[in-house]
Amino acid sequence: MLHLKNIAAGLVCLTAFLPAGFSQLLTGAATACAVQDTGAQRIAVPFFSVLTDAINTAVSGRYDLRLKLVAYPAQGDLMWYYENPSGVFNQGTFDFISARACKGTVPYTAALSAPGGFPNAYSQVISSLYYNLSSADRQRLSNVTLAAREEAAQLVQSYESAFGSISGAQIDSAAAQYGPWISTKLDYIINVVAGSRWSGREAAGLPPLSYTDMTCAKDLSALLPDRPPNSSGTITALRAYLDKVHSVTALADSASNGSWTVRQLQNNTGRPGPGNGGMKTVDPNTGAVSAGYQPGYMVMNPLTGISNDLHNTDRTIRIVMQIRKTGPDLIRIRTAWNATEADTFSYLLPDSVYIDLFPLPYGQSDQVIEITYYGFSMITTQPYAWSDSSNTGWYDAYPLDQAIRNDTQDVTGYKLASWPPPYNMGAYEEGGTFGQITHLLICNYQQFSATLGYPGEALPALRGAAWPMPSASVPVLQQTAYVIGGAFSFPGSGP
Amino acid sequence: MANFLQEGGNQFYTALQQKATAAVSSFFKSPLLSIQYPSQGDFMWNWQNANQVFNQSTFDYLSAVISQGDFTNSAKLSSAGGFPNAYTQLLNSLVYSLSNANQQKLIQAQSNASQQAQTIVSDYQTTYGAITDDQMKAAGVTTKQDYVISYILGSVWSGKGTSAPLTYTQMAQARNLAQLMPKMPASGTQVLTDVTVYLNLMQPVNALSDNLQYGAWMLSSLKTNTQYPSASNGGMQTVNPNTGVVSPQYQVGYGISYPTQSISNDLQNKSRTIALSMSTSSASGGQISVHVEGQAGFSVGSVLRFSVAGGASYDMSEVSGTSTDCSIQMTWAGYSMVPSAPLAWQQATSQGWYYGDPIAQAIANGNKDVDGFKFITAPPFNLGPLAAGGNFGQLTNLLIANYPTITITYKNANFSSFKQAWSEHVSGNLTLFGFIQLGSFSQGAYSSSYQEGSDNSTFSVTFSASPALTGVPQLQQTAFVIAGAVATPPGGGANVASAAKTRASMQEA
Repeated sequence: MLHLKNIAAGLVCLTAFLPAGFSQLLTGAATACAVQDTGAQRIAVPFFSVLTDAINTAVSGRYDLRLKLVAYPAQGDLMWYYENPSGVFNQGTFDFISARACKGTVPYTAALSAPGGFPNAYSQVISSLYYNLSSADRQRLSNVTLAAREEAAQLVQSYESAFGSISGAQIDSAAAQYGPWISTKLDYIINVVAGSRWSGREAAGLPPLSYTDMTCAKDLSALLPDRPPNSSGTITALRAYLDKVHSVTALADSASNGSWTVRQLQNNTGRPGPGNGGMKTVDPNTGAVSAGYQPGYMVMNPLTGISNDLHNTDRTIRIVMQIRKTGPDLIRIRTAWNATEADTFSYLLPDSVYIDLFPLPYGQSDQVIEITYYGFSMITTQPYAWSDSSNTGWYDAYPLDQAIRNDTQDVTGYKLASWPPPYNMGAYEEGGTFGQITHLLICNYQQFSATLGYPGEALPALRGAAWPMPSASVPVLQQTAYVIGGAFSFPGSGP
Repeated sequence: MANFLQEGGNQFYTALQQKATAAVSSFFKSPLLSIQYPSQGDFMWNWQNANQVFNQSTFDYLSAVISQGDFTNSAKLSSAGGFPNAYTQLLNSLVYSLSNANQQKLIQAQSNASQQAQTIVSDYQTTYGAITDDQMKAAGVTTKQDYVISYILGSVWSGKGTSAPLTYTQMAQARNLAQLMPKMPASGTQVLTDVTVYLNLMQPVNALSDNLQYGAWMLSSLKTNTQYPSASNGGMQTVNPNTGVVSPQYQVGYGISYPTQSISNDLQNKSRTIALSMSTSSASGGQISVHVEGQAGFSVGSVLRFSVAGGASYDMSEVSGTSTDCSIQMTWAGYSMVPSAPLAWQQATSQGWYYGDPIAQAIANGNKDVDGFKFITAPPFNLGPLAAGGNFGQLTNLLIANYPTITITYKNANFSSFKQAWSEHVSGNLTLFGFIQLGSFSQGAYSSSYQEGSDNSTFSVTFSASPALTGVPQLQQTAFVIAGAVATPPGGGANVASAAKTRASMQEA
């Protein structure tokens, strides 16, 4: 398949064949985590745009991802051997994958923060997270008795019609037997008559059913096996009352549960330990295992799989850029995956691109740039997701997503007390600064060459040296792989 | 500095920066700046001893604060430890505070919660009768609010009794409050929901309070770990590369995530080169015209000077038999990209000392009335990009290589005369344009060799790093720094100082 892409006016304007929103990348806005000083630099911006496209074209169909180039971080390359033989996570790997990602200062790149930048930022953001009821829902909750008043009156009336009036002496007697909290006719019917006698628990010497037990019962009648034959009216009224109350108290449950969830996220992120999914790390340099715990991270690929990939030199991504200086200039890209040609497309470039286009000197004619990534592997990584049932893990995007959506509206749900949040919670294209790494496309090494394309002339490799393969003398935990590109998620930026 | 020297420096550093950027662009997708030769000397790349103690001289280089260089596309280093020192000063100018609006919200929310507390008492008394002084005395509480929440809910409805009642914190943190109240009567629903509303009203109050405490704690932790590094907070000892003595004190931690074995491999991989070419010719007034990489020329008095032990030095355009008509090729072989970083602060472990986000947030917050970090006093540094005069940069990567091999090819010269005057056995140091040092050693760095050209009027002289360098102790082995990548706080600019001044004046008022 041949595509033609038109690049206009110095910087790039690839609109015809790129996904919606991609053109926003071209603005090159500064971001809060890409701290590389650009100074008076002239960066090969068009080269990066072309390379990004070429890599994505090569991997399309294999991985359903839109990869971005990664600006070389202070962490260096990825220490891919992510755990020692005892299963302790490599601190070097953690330092890379726990970085916060955002749009780089150099267009088409993503920049990474210092190690631990994502859990640090997450911890700060959720320190102001809370679960709140809207004013209207709080009012509904406050009026629970008003809402259930009719049903309560009906229940008492129904009971007294069938079983006679409840006397003060009966209530006092029940209070003496069960406790001072029995003080009204309603308490007497629900807690004493239904909860203790009709449930058969008094006869069995057991404490009465709690109010909550009855409210949450799947089948109320089944809980009351000793109910008398003439109790059906009372049971019906009781069910109506409980349903009415339950519809409102569900709000209370959601408020308590939401607040509890926030506290668990804060605790598990800020105080990770062996009981909540925290992990120790091993220093790849010294082999020392840390005393403290970090929030857990996982690499989903088995080590042997990564190792096999990296050392399989048949696994290649090959990108050939043929550059013909005609007017307008034309770059023809061929991409190949495991030696199989993947796609071909062309770019039209203005003359000015030659000034910046790495690494060609201005004025050169036909040229060929060839980049081959050997032994590539796609690494999938994620923070240890918080589990509601086990209360382990620390990362849950949902409350944050909801809090961002709720903004400062008076609605029930998660919110941020400190608004706006200290990070741009938008997507990469929106200059988001709260990204986490989800995938890394790595390779063992890359081979790069640029050749002059004059017919009959020798084709000198201007810079043909390979990125060195990990040497056998490098300790295994310090062996690195070159990161070709990455994919990121930006919690809070919506679906 | 004389104009011609300035221009020479501009052209040399710019050309070197562009060559370095081009050489690594296929994998290093960030800008590089040439690094002016610092007072620290060359880079001691063997960054740890056999016991994995960090090399003090490596630390001295990496811990410098970076500012705009004297020449185009260059950066210069401060003295050792400049960056952590500057960072400490910046931290001391930061505060974490709530916006006025949120402070008002906090007060309002507390007021609302107080109102709701009265509702709890009122609804309780409506259902169960007035709470008497005797009841409060018997329950051991002094307010009606405490009576309902602490005693009735905590002891009675929870079934816990007075010996081990549910605490307020347990109730506030409960996932399901109703489940903690097995002995709550049916008529208690109203009160329980009132308490739930009360706890819910306190959520934004608590969240703001938590957020404020978190910011203050973060700042405190950063200051402690930066000012008092220790074994327990990620500080590190260093080893003197000269004596091998390990320092008793701790420094702030720095790391290089590239093994010394890999650096060594890279330096030995001589197939990877970065080259720079110049041509020279005579100019008026005894000057020499220089063209770096085909750029417009500039004039200097001396292009390349060779200094040997004992103080003698030779201008390589004035040595007998040489000429001013020559081309110069400088080649750096075996380059290596060395990533380095301060030990990053980690919220979970309180280890590490450097965390740029509070500074970035303070910059972004400027004068805005928002929650977060702010500068309470004007930061004593320009936090902008180096090109805008920024002087708070930190090194993130260093591109190092072996010392350059320099080949001078003379034309219109006299090889016979040169051969008689020159000795290949002398070693020394090289200086470009009279002020750019190409390495510096107590013993001579370079030795030379020469080769006759096609006739006597043409010959070349090659300076290459002296083999004596290989005898240098491991920890003192050095490499030439070609360029570096520098990080500055995002968004840093001139508005930061004015914002802080305004804030300070507002607070005084």
